[in-house]
Amino acid sequence: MIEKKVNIKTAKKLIFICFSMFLFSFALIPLYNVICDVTGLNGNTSNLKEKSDINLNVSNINFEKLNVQFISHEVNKQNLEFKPSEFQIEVVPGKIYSTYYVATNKSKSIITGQAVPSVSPNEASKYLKKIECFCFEEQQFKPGEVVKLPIYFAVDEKLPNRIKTLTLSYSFFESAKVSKKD
Amino acid sequence: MFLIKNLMFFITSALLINTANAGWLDLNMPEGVTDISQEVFDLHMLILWICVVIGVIVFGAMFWSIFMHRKSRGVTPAQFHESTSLEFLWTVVPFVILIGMAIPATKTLIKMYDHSDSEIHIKITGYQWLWQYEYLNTNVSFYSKLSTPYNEIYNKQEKNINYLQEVDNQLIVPVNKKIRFLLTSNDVLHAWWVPDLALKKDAIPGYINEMSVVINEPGIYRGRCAELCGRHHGFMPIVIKAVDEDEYEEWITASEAKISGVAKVNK
Amino acid sequence: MSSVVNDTHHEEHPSGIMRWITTTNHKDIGTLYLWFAMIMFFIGGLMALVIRSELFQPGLQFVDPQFFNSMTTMHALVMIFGVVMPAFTGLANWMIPIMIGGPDMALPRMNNWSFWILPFAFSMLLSTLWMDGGAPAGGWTLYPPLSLQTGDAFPFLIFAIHFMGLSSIMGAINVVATILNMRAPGMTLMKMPLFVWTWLITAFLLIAVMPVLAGGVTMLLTDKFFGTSFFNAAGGGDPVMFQHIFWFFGHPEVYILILPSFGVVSAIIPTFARKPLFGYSSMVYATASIAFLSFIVWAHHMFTVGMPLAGEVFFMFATMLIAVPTGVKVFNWVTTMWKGAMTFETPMLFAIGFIIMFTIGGFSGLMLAITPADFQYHDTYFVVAHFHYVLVPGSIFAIMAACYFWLPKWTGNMYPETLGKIHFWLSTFFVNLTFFPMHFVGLAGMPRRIPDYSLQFADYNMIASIGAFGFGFAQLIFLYLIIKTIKGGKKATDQVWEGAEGLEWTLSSPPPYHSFNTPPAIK
Repeated sequence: MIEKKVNIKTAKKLIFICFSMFLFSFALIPLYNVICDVTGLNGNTSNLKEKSDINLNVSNINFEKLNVQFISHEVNKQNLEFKPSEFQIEVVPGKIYSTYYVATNKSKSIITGQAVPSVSPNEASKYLKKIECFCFEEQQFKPGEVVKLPIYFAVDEKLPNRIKTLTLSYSFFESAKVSKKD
Repeated sequence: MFLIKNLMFFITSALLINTANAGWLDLNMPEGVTDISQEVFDLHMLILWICVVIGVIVFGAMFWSIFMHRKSRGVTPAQFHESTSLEFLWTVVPFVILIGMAIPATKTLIKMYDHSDSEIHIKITGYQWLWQYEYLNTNVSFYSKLSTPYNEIYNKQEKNINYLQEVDNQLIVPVNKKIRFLLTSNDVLHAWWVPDLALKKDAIPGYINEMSVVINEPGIYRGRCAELCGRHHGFMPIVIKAVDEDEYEEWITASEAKISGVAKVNK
Repeated sequence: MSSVVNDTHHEEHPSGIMRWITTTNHKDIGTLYLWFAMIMFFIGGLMALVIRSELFQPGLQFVDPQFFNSMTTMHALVMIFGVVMPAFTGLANWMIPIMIGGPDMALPRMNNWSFWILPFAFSMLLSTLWMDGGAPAGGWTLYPPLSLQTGDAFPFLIFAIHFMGLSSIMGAINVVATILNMRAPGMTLMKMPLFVWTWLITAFLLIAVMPVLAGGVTMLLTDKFFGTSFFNAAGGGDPVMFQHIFWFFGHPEVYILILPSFGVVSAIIPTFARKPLFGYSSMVYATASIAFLSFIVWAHHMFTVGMPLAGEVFFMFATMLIAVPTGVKVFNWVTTMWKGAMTFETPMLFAIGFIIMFTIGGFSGLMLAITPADFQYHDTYFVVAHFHYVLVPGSIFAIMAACYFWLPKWTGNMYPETLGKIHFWLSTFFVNLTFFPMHFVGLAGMPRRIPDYSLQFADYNMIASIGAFGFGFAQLIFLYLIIKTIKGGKKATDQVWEGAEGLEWTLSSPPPYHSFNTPPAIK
């Protein structure tokens, strides 16, 4: 039966398409991250640390001032207080600034977790360059401990003119395995 | 295009005036109390009327042929089945109409994305199933949850006029000042929606979103969570009270003093 | 439905239940699919009635809010994966080999398998109703993190979706292989009936996007049980990423649910207008461009997640573009009717009802495409009204039209015409009574998926609930009518309808067990 062979050949091709689409769905994850890095689609700044070699040409300062705001969110408020030390800094693009967050462990046990950054407006995330930051690093706080967590950052001069205020937010999530032990 | 647009606005406004008393507005999107919500409403009506006109033409042609070209009238069917010019025409004409819709829509969208010169910054956090409001740069922060009694929900008591759209602590904001909202969530997705302000945005755990508004009229505006967030999704309303600037200043100063007073006592 | 088997070749096949379990015959399998869809239609409909009973009046009367959420979730899953998709696959099984002059489907054994997976998948899904923590209640869109709060039902939900996906992928592979390889000599692609064309495009869509859904739900599964954090912000993931994956599947899926109905309507309108279809080739191109556009518009389901301005504008423009090919189709149908000699038997009534009400759904779709206005419409009853207009008087009406159109061919008996017309008018009246008021409550500010609402929405919800019960009971007429027609009735001629053209009408009614063992001559 020649016909049967043809059918199976077609089916094989189609199954191949199926598998590639299945793999494609997983490829969407890194693809999405790349797109987010380029466009700032979701306001996630996770990968910016590697780009800390940006050209911070201070001589070329655009003197229009910007506001950078700091906010935080603690998923478990009873245990950990996590607050920015100041609400807003006026910055000039291209210059490096520093500020810090304060974490206070109010519980009676060790808290492990990490702070996840997010920038709004989303498209500004790629222009907010963090030279040093504590995000995505696992942090450990002993009971009663008060810790200062510093950030060094600069705003890229290429930031579109219409954006005048940037907000950097950190959400602190406790690691699942530790909170289970409590 | 301009002609069509003006015509639409004319029909829209004429109809609105005629039927305003007949409860038309209850059936329609609220015009709202901000410049942008007014623009959104106009866009909505513009597209609606374009659709109505297209609908009348297409369905008109259809009903005409349903009545005139039926076998019982003894007609013989025509046999044409192609017309390049006709097909070209009805590909191009909708395209042009669409461009006419897209231009005002994009303009409004750009305005919606302009958050510059905001004077008040409020962080909104969604919880299962209540809202938290933090007035940034002050120490004022509170939770806002449904205040409708259970007896009303379970039909043991007559429902009041603000059934399911009343809260214990209202969000108080001034009129005529640009307010910027920063949205996030503590657990699952929520969406903060107040129709009168034409504001709706998702609250996403770990991420922040922003939107801004200038309210033109003092009043109480009610909204709801608009993204399924679990069992009590239908029971986390939003009530926002817009007051005069002086009244707002008074309120925020009093609240700050109250909170720092409480903090001192606790220490 | 082919209870009378007119087998000219006297082939051996087991009788009784084993015939249906072991069958590899495209007509038998088509019949199984259609009956499965019918049963699921009533199960899903029952869920809709639970929803509408609770929403009849403000206040909580009948069910717990959690169960209410389960009902909305399950209603959607059952209606999409259990009714519309199997019904169209059933029609494809029955009609495609006949329409292209082939003997059977290309891969008959796989055909059997792809059907028999479905009852298992749906038993699994429906069994979650009795599980600890209740049935899935996070919406059919399964957005994390909420969907990850599902109890014991979660893995069952995911595997049920995997199986449904597997079934439809296999069905789609079969359809493509059949259309590409089994056509009678002379049946060129551009001579195929539009139903075959729309199904070919639908099948490619299915093959392209069902694996993406499978991938997405697999990631949900590993997020919940194996500690990955694809969608968990705490581990560096992004919950919005799931929405992108889901709607990359979900938007083409919407067209999977509607494209075959375009094919059905394009078969019925010319038959009863006694006039050839206007613009055949532009119909084919329009279908193909709708399918293509469906891949680049997904984010219009998520305008409120906070995309950058450029993203919102792009997806708005791309979405609006879909109105062009869809408009072409509607204009072509109307022009086909123009200057015809029409009669209005039940299939024609359903087809005309489809055009009108689908177009209304298309208009509200265009309104939803306008991003600034969508901020007001998003996740309200306006959206519920929109997609029910394209799915109920859209897809479901097209399926019913197809059933009335081909039932005499399938069974050899004419259905009772008056009863069919009563069914149409009752359905049309009640479907509008149900869904039209939803536009108004949505615009007035009622979000979707809520079990209880403020007092200003009460009137329209009551009307909608009455409509829903009316529509539900009207469908019992449909069930009765089909059973009655299978059992007997006026004998149908081979051509059945005066204006009918196409290979299916050259066969006897009912057709022989194997359709074309010698390929027919194509003009």
